[in-house]
Amino acid sequence: MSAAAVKNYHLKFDSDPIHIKGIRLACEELAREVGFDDKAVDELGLCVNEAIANVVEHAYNFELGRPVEIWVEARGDGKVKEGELRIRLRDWGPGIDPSKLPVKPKDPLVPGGLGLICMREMMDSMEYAAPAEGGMLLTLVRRFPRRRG
Amino acid sequence: MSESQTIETNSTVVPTARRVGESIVAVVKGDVDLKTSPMLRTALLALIKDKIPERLILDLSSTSYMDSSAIAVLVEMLQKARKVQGKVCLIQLQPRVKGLLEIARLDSIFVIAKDEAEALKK
Repeated sequence: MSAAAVKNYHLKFDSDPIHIKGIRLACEELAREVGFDDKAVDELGLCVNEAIANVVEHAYNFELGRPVEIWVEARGDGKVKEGELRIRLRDWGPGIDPSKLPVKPKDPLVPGGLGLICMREMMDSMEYAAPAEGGMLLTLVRRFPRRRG
Repeated sequence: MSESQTIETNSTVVPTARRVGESIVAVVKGDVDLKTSPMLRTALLALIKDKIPERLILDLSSTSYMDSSAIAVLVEMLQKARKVQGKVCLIQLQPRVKGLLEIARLDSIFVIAKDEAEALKK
């Protein structure tokens, strides 16, 4: 993409919920800089939050000090009407693909699964892959203008 | 309007709470995510420990962001309230919080009110 800037960041952190807010805010700022509107920025932030929370809670069962890596790559220049933001999140947990778990009918009064629902509804694509070294790699992509349905 | 009585909370996430008649009004402050939702849970459980109120009114005017772990805490409070025919009322919802409640299909399950006065009538 010649006219549009490419912005990236890559962070290594440990599986402590204390990191979630800072990473969410950094992702929101990057999304805003490259031209996503307020609603999309909010949704991207929530999805990053939920993705990391899933790693902390489900991949690592709240065990602190386990490794997590995130790559965020955004394309856009704040003016163009097309672009995308791609988030990759790597953990070294047991390698369970949450998207392959049986889908239960969603009862609003039974907590659980809301993070996955947000990611499915708010992102243009969500893919889990199992690297040979173990764990999971989640890739989330959000484009603008958003491709719907 | 009923007199109100301050309740000590010792919580940064729920810094103030009052008993108003048979209701409890608690102010939730700050973003609530996986780091702070356990603190929210602890504070709310302490408020209803002795008696689950007719209405647990949560003032969310100072909470612009919540994630699914916060929603899980609210649902837990709702389930406890329902066992004694109580209600959980959410007031002064900020747009992001309102949006998440809608995605979770909880916007019609909690009592949503504009402010405390309206919540006390519901």
